[in-house]
Amino acid sequence: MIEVNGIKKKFGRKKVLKGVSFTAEKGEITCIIGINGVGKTTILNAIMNLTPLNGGEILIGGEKINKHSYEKITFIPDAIIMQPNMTIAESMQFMADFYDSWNQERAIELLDFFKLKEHEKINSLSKGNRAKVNLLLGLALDVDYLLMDEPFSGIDIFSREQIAEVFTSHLVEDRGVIITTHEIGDIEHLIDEVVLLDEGEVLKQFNSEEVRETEGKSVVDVMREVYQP
Amino acid sequence: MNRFAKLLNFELSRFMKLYLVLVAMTIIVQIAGVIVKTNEYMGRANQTIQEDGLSIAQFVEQYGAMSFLDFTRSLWFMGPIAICAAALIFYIFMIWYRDWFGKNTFIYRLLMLPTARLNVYFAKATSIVLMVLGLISVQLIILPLENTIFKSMLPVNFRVDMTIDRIIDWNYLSMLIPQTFIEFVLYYGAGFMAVLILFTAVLFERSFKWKGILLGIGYIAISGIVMLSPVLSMVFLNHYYLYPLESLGLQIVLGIIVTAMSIWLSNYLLNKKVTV
Amino acid sequence: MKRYWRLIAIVSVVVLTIGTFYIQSAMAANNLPDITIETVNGDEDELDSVVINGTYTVGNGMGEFVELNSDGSTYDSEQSFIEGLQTRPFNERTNQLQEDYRGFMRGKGRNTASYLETEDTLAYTEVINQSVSGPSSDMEFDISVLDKESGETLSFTVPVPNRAMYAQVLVEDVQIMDGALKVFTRNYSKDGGGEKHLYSFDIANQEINGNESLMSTESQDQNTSIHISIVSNSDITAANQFIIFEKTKRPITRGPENNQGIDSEQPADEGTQEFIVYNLETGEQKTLDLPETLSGKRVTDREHSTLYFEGEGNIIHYNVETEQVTDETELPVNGTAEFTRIANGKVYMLTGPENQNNFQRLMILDLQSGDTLYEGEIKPEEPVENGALLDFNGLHIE
Repeated sequence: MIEVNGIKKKFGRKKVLKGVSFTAEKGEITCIIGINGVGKTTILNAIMNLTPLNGGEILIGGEKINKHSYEKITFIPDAIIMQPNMTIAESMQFMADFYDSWNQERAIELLDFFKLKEHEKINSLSKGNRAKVNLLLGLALDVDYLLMDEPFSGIDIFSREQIAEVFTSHLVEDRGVIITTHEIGDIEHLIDEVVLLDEGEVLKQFNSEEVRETEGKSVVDVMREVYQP
Repeated sequence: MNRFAKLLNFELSRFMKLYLVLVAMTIIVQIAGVIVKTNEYMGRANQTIQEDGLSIAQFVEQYGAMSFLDFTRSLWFMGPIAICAAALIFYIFMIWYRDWFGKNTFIYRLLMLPTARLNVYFAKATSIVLMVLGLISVQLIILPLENTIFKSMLPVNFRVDMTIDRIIDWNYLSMLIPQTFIEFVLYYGAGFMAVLILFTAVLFERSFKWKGILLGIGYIAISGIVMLSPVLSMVFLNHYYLYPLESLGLQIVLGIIVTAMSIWLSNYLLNKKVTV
Repeated sequence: MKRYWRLIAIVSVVVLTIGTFYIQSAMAANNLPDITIETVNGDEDELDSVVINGTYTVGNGMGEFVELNSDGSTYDSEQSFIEGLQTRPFNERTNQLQEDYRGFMRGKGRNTASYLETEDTLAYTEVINQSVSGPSSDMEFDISVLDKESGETLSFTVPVPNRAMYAQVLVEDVQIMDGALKVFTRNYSKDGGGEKHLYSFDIANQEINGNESLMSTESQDQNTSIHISIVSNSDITAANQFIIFEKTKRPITRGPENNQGIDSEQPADEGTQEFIVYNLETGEQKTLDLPETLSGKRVTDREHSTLYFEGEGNIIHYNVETEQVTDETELPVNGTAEFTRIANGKVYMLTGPENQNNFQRLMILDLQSGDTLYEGEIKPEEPVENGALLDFNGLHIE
C-alpha cells in the first residue's frame, strides 16, 4: 500500500499541495483526477522522492522511500526519460544493467505487442512510439507499484487504444497502479479508485465500482457533483 | 561490474564522441605546429644567411638555435591544450545540466536508479577527472613523437635538443605534469576537490533555483577562503608561523575537510532537496 | 565486459602512460650530466667544506640550479618534493638555524643579516609591518634573543623611532655588545633620501636606548652616485667588533635628454672607494687611511678585523684596527679567480674557463704560505648536450 499522509508543497509563495492524503492499494488502479496545474505530477514526483516536500510523509509498504524502493516502484513520466540518441535496444540494455527487477522476457513481449523495432533510435520515433517505449521501459520491471503521469496525453488514437489494452492485460495484473489524467473518458472503465483533486486538496476519494453499484453513478457523474455543485 | 562502474562507463560514453574530437584536434594541430614552426625557422634562417651572407654558426650565434620549447610556447601547442581545458571546464557544468534540460529529462532515470544517488555524483566527478588524465596521457604520448619530428625537421646545428623530462620540467607544462608523483597526487587531488565544489554549487542551484545560485556562489567562495586561509592569515598577520611541511599538512587537512563537506552537502541535496 | 571498453580503455591508457612516466623519471637517470671535481693535485679532504653553486642552461635561458660538493652534483630537479619544500627558498645558513633551533626559528624570516649567533646566544631582529605599497607607519622592530644554555627566549617589539618618516627600513647586521643589541639598518626616507642607521636596545629592559644616523647614502653632488655596503664576513651571523662600510663614489655621465625630457644617468664603472669602520666597543667611526698600494683594489673577503684585497697576483691582508698591511699571499700564476673566499686560514678560488674546451678550476691555498693545498677541475662526466651550458657562479665555504 502507498500511503500519502497530508503532504504539502509550495512553489515560491504558491501552495500547490495543501495537505493531500490518500492511499493506493496493490492490485488496484488508482486514478488522480484534476485539471492541469493542480499538482498531480508533483504528487507522483513526491512519491518517487524527486522533489522535496514542505510537510507530510509518504510510506510505501510502510517504509519511507530509499534506494532499494526503486526496484519495487517505478515512475513513467509523460516525457521519455532516456538518452535520445540511444536505440531502443540500448535503452533496454541500460535498464537491464541497473535494475535487478528488469524482466527481459516481458520487455520482448512488450516490444512485440507495441510493434517497435529494437534498432531504432529514440529521437527518430513518433510521439506515440516514444510513449510506448517509455511505457515498455517501466512495465518490463517486476515492480509492485507503477506510477504513470498522463499516459494518454497528446497521443494518436491508435496508440491510445494499444496503451489502454495494456491495462487490462496480465502486464498490469496484481500491481498497484497510480495514474494521473485530466480527462477520464478513455479509462473510466479501467480504474478502481478515484482521487479527485482541486486547489491542492483532495475533494473526494471513492471506489468507482462501489459508486456505480450503490448509487448508480458513473465517475463522470461524481466529478460533475464535486467540481460543479 | 558494480553500479558505480556502470555509471562511470555510461558517463564516459556520453561524452566520448566530443572527447575523441578533442584528442584528434590536439594531435593534428600540435603535429602540424611542429612542422609549421620548424619550417618558419628554417625559412628565416635560409633567408638571413643568404641576404646577410652569414655562416650557419654566425646565424645561430646571432639569432639562437631553435629549441623544442620555442614550439611549446606557440599557439600551435598551447591552443589545443587551452581548448581542451575550456571544454572540460564547461563540461563540469554541462554534465549535470544536460540531464535536466531538453525534452528528455534523463535526470528522472538517474535519480530513480536503485543505487545511492551519491554514486551518480561520484561517477560524474570521476569521469571528469579521468578525461582530464586521459588528455594528459595523450599529451605524454605525443610529446616524444613531436620531439622526433622536431629533430628530423632541423639540421643538428640549428637546434637545441632536449629530453621529454626537461621539456616538461622547464615549462608551464609542469603545472599539468608535475615533477614528482607526490605533487601529481596533490595537484589532481586538489583538482578533484575543485570539481566536487563546483558540483555542490550546481546542486545548490538545482535545489533552490535563483536562491540556489547565490548559495552556490557562496559555497564556492567559502571553500576558496578555507583553502586559502593559511595564505590569507599570512597576508593579514604579516607573520607566518608554520614550517613548509606543516603548511602542506595543514593544506591537505583543509582540502580533506572541504572535500568531505562537499560530499556531505551534495548527498544531502541529492536526497532531500533536489528537484527534477 | 565488451560494453565497458570505454572505461577499460581510458583507465588503462591513463594508468600505463602516467605510471610509466613517473616510474621512469623516478628510476632512470635524468640525463643531466653528473659533475665531479677531479683532483689534479693535493689532498681531497680539503674539499669537504666547499660548496659550489651553478646553473645548467639550454638554449634561450631555460635552466636549473645545480649544487656541487665533494660528493658530486645535485640538480634542483633531483630533489624530492618534500626535500625541496623544506630547503627552498634555498638559504643554507637559515636552514641550518632552523634545524638547530626549530622552536626559536618558527615564524622568522630568511634574511641572514637579521641573525647573530654566538656561543651562548642567538639573536634576531627584523622590521615588521612594512609593505612596499601600504602605509608603513606601523613599522616595529621584532626582536628575539635566545639564551642557548637555558633555552629561554626573550621576545619583544619596539616601534621604529620616527617611523612616519621612513618608507622602508632594512636590517643589514645585528650585533650584541655589553648586553646591548645593536641593529644596523638601511633606512629609505619617504622623501627619497636614504641613510645608514644604528639602533641600540637594552635587552634586559626590552627598550630602545640608542638611535643614531651613521651616514647618508645620498650624494650631495648631482654628478656623483654613492653606494654604501657592509663588508661582512662570509658568515654575516657571526659576532664582530667592527662593522666595515665600503663607500663607492662614481661620477655620473649624463646622456642626451630622451623624448620624455629626462636625461639618462649612467654611473661610471670605476669609482673611488673608501672604508668606514664603526667600532662597537667605543661607538666611534673612522675612515680608513689606505696606503697607496691598496687604492682602487677590490676587497675579496674579510675575516674579523682583516680585510683581504685582491692585488696583482697576490692577496693583501690589511688590519683595520692597526690600519696596517700585515701580510701578503702570493697566488700561483694561473690563478685568475672569478670567485675568491677566505676562510679557515685558506684561500678558496674558483677560476673561470679559459676557453670553450677548458673547465673551471677550484684551487685551495694556504693563506700564510700561499702553498697550493689542492687543485681540481670541475668536469661533467659526460659531455653536455647540444646547446647546453654549464656555469658555476657561486662559492661557499662551510
